[in-house]
Amino acid sequence: MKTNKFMEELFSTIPPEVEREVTLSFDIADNISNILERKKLSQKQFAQMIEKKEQEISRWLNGSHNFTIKTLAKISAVLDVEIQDIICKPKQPFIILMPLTSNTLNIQPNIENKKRIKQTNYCYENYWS
Amino acid sequence: MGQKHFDIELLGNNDIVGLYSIKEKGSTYTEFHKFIFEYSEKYPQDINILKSHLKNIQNRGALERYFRPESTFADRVCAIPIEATKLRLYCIRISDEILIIGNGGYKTTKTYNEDPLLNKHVETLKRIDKIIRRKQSSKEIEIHKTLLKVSLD
Repeated sequence: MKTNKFMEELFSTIPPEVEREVTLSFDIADNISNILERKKLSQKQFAQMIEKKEQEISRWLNGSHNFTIKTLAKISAVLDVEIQDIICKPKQPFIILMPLTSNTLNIQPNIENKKRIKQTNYCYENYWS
Repeated sequence: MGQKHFDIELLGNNDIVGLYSIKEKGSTYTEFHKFIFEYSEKYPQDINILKSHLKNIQNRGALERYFRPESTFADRVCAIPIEATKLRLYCIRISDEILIIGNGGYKTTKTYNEDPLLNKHVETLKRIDKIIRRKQSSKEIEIHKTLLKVSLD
């Protein structure tokens, strides 16, 4: 990251509670967006399903909405996901180093034994549970 | 009175996004600096939310859904849509990877163009966006992922 001094100072003075609050709003927005994408639902369809206006859904997805427990519960019910899937850190595509050995699998030791596992929108925690 | 001339200045970039601002020729500070200097003391809480919003954009990209279009569909001028505040910060979202941050102010009217100060900031960005579009068409601009190189002359 190449950041000038001004930006460094600017970001370093954000109170931790504000940073956590805004980051959580972004996490929720990204998770809902990912779930809609995974379920092949447009914002319009989701708005109809949850009986809200499309503008309201846009506000939910812009990273600054303060979600109530009631709203989170409704989103979770309508999208048929756990609330945890909505509030967790959004998942990035990741690479798992498989616990392979050259003996057990009869492969050359220098073969790259990384295997890309399917991209999933679930949280790490849920993936492993 | 003639129109002001601006340069584009890099505020910071990583693999995800490049954050830029505009600086009036001859000025020491960018428009974003001026915005922060003007409103940090008056609205500290709102400024902290905006700073945190920008930090998240820095980590996630300048995705379209993180912004609210402020002008017409013909330009890329948008506002950072903080629900909890009337403080507005205007930007030009070139792509998911390039964001030019301008100036803003406290919104007391229903629309930005009813407020002379907000209107001035949005109009400045609209004018700059128009120049950038023209230079993009004539290939007088260098855009490489998060890096933007353009002369606004």
